[in-house]
Amino acid sequence: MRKICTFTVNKIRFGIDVLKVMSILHNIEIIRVPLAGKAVKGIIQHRGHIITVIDLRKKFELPDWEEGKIPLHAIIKTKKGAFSFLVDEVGEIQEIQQNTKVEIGKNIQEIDGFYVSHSYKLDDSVLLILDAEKVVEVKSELSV
Amino acid sequence: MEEELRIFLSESYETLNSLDRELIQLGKNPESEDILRTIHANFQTFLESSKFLHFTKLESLTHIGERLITQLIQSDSEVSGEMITTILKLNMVIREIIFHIDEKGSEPSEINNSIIRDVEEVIKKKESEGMIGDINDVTDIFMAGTPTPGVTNESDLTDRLMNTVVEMIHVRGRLFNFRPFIKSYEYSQIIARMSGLVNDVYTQVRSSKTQPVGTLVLNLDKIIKDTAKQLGKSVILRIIGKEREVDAKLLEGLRIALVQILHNSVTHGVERTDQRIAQDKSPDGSITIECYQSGELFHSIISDDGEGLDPDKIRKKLVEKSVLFTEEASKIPDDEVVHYIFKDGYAGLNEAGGFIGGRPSGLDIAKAKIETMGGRIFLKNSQKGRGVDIHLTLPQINAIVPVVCVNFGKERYAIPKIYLVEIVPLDSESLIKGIEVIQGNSVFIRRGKRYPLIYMKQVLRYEDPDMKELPENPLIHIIILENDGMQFAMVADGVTDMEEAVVRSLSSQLSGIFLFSGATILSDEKPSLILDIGEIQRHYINSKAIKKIVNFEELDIVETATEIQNNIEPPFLEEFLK
Repeated sequence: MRKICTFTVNKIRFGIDVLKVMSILHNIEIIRVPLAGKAVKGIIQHRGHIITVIDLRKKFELPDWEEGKIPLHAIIKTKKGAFSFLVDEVGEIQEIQQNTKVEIGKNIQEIDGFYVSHSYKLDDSVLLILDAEKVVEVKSELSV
Repeated sequence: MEEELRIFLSESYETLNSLDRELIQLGKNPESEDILRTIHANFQTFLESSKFLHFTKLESLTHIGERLITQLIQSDSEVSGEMITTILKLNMVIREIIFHIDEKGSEPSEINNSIIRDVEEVIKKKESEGMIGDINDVTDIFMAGTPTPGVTNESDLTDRLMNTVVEMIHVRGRLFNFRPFIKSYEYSQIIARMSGLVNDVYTQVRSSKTQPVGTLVLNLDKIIKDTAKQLGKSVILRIIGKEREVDAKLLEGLRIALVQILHNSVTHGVERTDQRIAQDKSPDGSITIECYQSGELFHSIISDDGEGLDPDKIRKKLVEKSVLFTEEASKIPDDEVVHYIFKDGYAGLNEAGGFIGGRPSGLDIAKAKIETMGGRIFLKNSQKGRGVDIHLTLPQINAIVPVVCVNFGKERYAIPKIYLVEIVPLDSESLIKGIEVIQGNSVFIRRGKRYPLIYMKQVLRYEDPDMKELPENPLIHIIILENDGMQFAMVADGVTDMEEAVVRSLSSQLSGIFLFSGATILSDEKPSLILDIGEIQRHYINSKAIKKIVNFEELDIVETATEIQNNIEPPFLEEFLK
């Protein structure tokens, strides 16, 4: 059995393994980083670490945050260190049976299937599991 | 030779121990790619050092180990217990050979070949299962740019310790802020004692995480001599500042980059002995690596006394490699085209000498390697017939550096104190008097000296959300800085305190941005980016025209035209004066 932390981004529901979620934070001052990629919202400080904030709406090319809406920071552990993913809301922890795993085609409607590793079949829906490594991947940008 | 062997052995024992540790970890986390990558790096270290010292048996063993791990990384599935046993066996045979070398000074004449056969069988089996593609792909990825294994991995005990100590330093900074409010002699003594203890722990943990650059020397010297010999050249390598310390995790990446640069200097820079004599140069070419530290950065300057760069040759090659069209290439001035030696794709794979030990090589790889570690590399100087200087910098992660905090608009950035010359507060009226625009370049004039001026808000793409609320007569600060013997100035809105900052690295998404050398957490617990003053200077005020203006020399018309085009115009000036 696996425990999956669920959250929503622009009404789309995602999950990430609970073991990868270090904490959920809100109301933290984000320091802008000039010249950063458009999905990088800036940096924050968390327990003495500098953490890069990734705006999932920008990353998935979804509509921007509504005026006055304060997103939450989900601090996610990846192979490249900790990152903050900006999400709308954090939902309940879902317990998943391994045998409900379904391989997902790359043609998910809402977002680029590149960022989804697999999914689980629930009673009335399908839970997409976010591939955190893909989200923080940097495409090689060499320039003079 | 004896010295080399001694270093080789001590390194080997270290690598073996690390291999053992990682294998145990792998048993616990069979799906971890990080651990596999560390093991891969260990095998690579062995492979390269055994090649240098011509231990052929060791070489073939470690080569096979490297191939196996490469496969495992590519196959992207859990590593079976059986597989771990195979690697352990391989490790045992390697250990036996090392023991033998330690005792007798040479490899054993006979080794147990069955283990090699076993491993080869496993590799073949996997290959036939179609689980892997081209092995070289992975090696290339390692060379070109994936972060050195473990750079951000904090599983290590000293890493965790370091993070705790860094937090202690932050807390200490906040304690210091309270000192003026508590007027007690005893209290200040306790704080001072506490502070000393924190320093002790910091120094000890840090020294366990850094290593002197000198540990790289053995390999480098050998590479240069070997390559030079093959080409009928003679080169002497000198290293200044061997004792300078670098973060141990960056050492391997630094080594790879240095190998590329040195190889390039020997093959393309230094002339053959007969050519040198004909040109009245000393018969032996000389390459110097100078290492030093300043502020938040570790520096290394690699200089040779070879033939220098030929702008026309570079243009020709850029066109040949389809990096640029002929017309584009011809438009780039001489002193700019030389910087293209770092351009991706400039050092092609089909070029003679483009391979080291079967791997692609070139300055673009050195650049990629340094940049993934958050460092920078650039051409400092090139004079025809006199040689080339290449300058590289690496962040000194976790170093404590005094910084000043400077505001640009509502944002705050840290500037290492070492660059700071003077801070001049000005009201907008004296600002108008102090600034002169000479043929498109703004300079700040103070006591008869001209300082090229950088409008940082523009550089940082700053947009003030409520610009209209600016006070009527804002106080501006001109920050005068010095780097590399040149003084220049920045326009800032305010300067706050001096602080002791701990340099933290930026994630790979951000480490490539040239404006910043790292980040830090200030005593109010907010993060702040550290400005890379050297890079900002190189990007914005390093042109010939600006140098002439500063020295009160006349500009010629052609220069002025291109300058105006390239220079950032100062619309922000108007904003200040509104």
